[in-house]
Amino acid sequence: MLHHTASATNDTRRDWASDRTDKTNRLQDANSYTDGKIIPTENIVDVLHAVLHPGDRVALEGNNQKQADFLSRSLAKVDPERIHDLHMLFSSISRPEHLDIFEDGIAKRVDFAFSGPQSSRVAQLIDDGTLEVGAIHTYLELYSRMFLDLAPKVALVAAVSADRDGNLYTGPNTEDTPAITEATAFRSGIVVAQVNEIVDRVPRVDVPGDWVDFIVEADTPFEVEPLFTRDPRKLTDVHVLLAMLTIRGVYERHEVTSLNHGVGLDTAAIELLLPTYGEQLGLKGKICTHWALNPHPNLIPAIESGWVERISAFGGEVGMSRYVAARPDIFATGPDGSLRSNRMAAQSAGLYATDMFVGSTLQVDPLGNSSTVTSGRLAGFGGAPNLGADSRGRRHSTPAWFDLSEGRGNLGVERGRKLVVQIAETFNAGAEPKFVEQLDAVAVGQSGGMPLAPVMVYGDDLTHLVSEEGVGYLYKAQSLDERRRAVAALAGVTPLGQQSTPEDVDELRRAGIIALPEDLGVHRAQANRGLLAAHSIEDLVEWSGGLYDPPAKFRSW
Amino acid sequence: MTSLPTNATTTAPEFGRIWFDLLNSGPISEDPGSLLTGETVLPDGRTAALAAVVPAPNSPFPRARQGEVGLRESLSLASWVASLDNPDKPLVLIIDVPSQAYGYVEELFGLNTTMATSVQAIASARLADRPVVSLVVGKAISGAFLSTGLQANRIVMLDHDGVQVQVMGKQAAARITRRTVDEMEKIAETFPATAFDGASFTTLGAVFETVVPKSAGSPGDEDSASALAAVGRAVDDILNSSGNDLRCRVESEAARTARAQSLLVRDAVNAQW
Amino acid sequence: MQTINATYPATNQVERPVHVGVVGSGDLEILLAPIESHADRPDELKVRVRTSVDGFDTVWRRVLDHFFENNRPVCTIEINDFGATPGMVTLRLSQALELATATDDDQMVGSADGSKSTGELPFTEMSARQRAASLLDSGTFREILGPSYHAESPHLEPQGIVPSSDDGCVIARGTINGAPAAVVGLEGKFQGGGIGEISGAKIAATLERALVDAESGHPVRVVLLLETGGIRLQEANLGLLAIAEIHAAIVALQRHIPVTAVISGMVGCFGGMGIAAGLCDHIVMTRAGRLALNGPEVIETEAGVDEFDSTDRSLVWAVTGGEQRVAAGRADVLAEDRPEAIRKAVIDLDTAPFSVHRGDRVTELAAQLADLDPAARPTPSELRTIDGRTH
Repeated sequence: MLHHTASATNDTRRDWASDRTDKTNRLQDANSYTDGKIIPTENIVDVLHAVLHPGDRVALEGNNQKQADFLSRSLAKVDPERIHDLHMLFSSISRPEHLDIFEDGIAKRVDFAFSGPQSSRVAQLIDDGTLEVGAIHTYLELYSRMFLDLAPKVALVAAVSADRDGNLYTGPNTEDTPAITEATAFRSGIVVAQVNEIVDRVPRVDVPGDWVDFIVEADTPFEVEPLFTRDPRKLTDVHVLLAMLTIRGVYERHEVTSLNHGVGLDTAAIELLLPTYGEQLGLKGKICTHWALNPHPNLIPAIESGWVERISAFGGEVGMSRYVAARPDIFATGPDGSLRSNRMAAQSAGLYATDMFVGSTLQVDPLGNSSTVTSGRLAGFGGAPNLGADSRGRRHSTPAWFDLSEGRGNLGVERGRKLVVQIAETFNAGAEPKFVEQLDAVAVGQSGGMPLAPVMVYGDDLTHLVSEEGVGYLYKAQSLDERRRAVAALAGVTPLGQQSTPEDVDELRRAGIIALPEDLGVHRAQANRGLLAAHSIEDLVEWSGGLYDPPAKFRSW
Repeated sequence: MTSLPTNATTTAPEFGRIWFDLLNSGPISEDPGSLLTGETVLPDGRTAALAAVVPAPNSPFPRARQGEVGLRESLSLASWVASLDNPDKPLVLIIDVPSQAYGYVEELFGLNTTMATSVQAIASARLADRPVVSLVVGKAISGAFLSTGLQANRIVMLDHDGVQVQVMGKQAAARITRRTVDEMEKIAETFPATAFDGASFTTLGAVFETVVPKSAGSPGDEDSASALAAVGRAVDDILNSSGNDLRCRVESEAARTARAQSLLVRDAVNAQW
Repeated sequence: MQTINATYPATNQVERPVHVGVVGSGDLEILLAPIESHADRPDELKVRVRTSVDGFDTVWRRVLDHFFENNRPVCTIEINDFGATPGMVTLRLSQALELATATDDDQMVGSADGSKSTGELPFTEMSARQRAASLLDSGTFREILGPSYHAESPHLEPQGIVPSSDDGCVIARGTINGAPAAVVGLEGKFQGGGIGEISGAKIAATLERALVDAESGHPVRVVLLLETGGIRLQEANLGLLAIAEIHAAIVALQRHIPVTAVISGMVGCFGGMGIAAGLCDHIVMTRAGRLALNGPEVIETEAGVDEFDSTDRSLVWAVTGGEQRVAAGRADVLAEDRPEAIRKAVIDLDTAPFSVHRGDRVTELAAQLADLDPAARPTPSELRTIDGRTH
């Protein structure tokens, strides 16, 4: 028997183009069901049977917003005897059939980033062993792995339209498609795109036809939900108070010009206070000029009032297309006039090009670790940890980033720091404390057999914490004990808050680690809804000059 | 004369039709539809106008075929009341109405508006000194009762198991108020305003007199006589009173207990006006 | 429902009684009343809380202890709470205290319950009290049977429901464009604006007294701000009787002076009060306002989703919304959702009594009904053109 020594010989028996060969064979198998690149709608299941093999890694959109739901419904129809044990990659586990395929044995393993809409079922399926989780990621993390160790063999994506060469127009909801298709195409994977219609000429090319193997006209236009719309009528006086504290205590203090808002009512209140409270404070032009953000309808008043220079969007937002198209200086639009979003790019912008992340959380522990995971629900991370963490690879300086520098520190050189802000009213609407001794996420991680607890923002990344009691400048805390006392001082009458003493509060105030509303010149009694620039969806429509088209569920006229 | 329908679809006795037929001494209107109109003779010999809203299984309005007060019923009633001659002639309204009509067309056209017309007509008749008496013989529910019987000067009520005064069925009410039916029934034991039976409603002080029929479903001459006697007493009471408003409802003895706040609020409004 | 009492030794004097907030979901009302000092007993702060959520007395005590740590006004404080978070409680207490101790009288102008910037709010975002104040001529607002009168329903607490000091109904005297007026404001956030014994009696009493004045030659203009789902189910037949009396009083008063209904939303006007609106000779609506007898959810429950899909918001407003109602003649004026616009609409209406009331238009309505084919499921726009009338 011959041995092959490591140094000497080329392995002439190895097929160095195995992926390519495999692809060619699969395309061959699909041949009889397709017309060039076009799959007749009724043949989709046959084509899936042809291009998929058991155990394949399959990326399925499954984006945060748009869903390739014709393809997911079709995938759920394949014969589990023929196609089984697929390894699914989802940015977002959104639709029921995303999980049906696991129950039917079509899929076995999953790597994903977010599962908000399906969080209870995901928890339950992990529990009973139906769902095997590789890992939960952030969006950027997942795409990054698609370019390294999790390259999809097959990508099932959604586009608005395609031409017969397979050039795709993904339009405002481009989202993850460029990243997923590139990662797949250049690894000899197979890209199948469902489109609302096949046209002679697409308005612009978002994904080149060279990257696309098949297109199929879907039975209905792809599903997309308005996830970033918040009704201003839902904002209470407490939201306004928290927003005032954050604007004064954080935005103004550190001169934050670039930022991301995690979607929610707290940040919606901030967006609606810029043209009024922010204006009163003389902050226009000094803060909030550059945003990594989806087209939030609630930002319309601030845009119209001249606060915003640029927005980099992760995705689109239902109802905002005409408004965005009419504001090309603000949003990224193509020569066709419509928005171009890109989640990978905007997540990178959020990681390295923004000074600050602000979001709301469901729970925070004494050291400032926070999470939106609660018992029985496994929602994953989405983009928040990527946005809500210090960007230690960043090198360029801005006033805000530099402002958090606390001197030369242990290494003898100064470094700046990203502002990571969490807003948490002390109790939630169900009268449960948000400030807790231990995050539910810890128990959830343990019972789910996860290697790490699903923490959204780690305490040592958190620089500021805001509650109705005041603002905590946690980045200034010199020790864990000081950090713990600062969190307790903001925790109101929760059990954690009961541990804070008036002496603690005085000391922390003197050290500049916490600021009470009166220290910031914010009068509790001033906080009322009358301050908001818009009070209703109708107001937003008016602010937009009639360009905003609210989806039906937000209309009350 | 009777007005038996050709296709009766309801299974419970149609108390409204039965008592209308019992009391009606006049001719039946040609196309009765769901509004029966006629006349009755009171014990003192006076003739009174008589009407009842009854189920019309062949109504062109599918949502108003089981006795519900819908668009047609409310407009017909208003029209007929407004057309009555002789302003002194009493008006007797026989009440057995299970609900208002629940339908798309009804809301689109404006059932609230058409019901207002029957309220307006009856109230105006009362304000023009026509004595109006409601005779509740079965169900008297919510908007249907408001638009037919509740503008009368006086209310006479039969006492039998088929009499019901309420504002919403138990299942629906339980769901909306987020309680169980059992919880609601428990409350009704000590808070008669939320109970459904006629006796409980009577404790609120708005009923002039109660009549116990020998047979609610097959009333005979004796039942007719006792009902008409009560109606006659109600008419006399109206004629002997100074006002033609609904004030007697809050000033009755029972109301002074069961609706004490209603009087106190009126006094306070006047005092602070 | 739970009641919590707390007493503290107190030192700070307060200038005036104060009322803030509304007993609505996630909110609370606070009544603060100064206590006179007496030499023979120590000054105190007495707090009574009635809360819809059980089991949080410890948290309540901590909230009160924490809030009153450094500032204890000599007064009684009544709190009626409907599930507010401690953050909201603290906020409302701050508002109340600020108003109670303010030395500058300007803070109170034009803000009937003391909250500022009501001029910035749309009409639909204002409380009943604020709305009533916004309709009356500046400086003439005078509430009767207000919170301090404590006309709260005796029927709710026994059912474990937190009452409102005004039973969800504001009665305000004043003038509108110089003419004597009474504005009735229903608070839609309290039990959905449902009519109970007391709120119903307040409305009926107002109309009845206006009639007395009218009969003696001094008509009072009554404006009804109708934000109500109809009868308050927890008071059932008491609400039913009260509404019948309201109907009677509207008919009687309108022989002298029209009654104006304003239906702005967001609750709308339904049930027996929808009939009351149908009696009113003037109806002002906003686009967000809805007017009907039965709400779409009730219709869907009774008759199925094919009869009325209550989740189809466009359909709901297309059938019951202000624009449709005005276009089809079921309401009269469509106004913008701003207090100035509503006030102007109300002022512009003619206050001479109608000879043919809304409730008298039987012939016209019957003719329109004859033009309708119920089996064909007419569309809202078809209704606007029935009987040759186009809008």
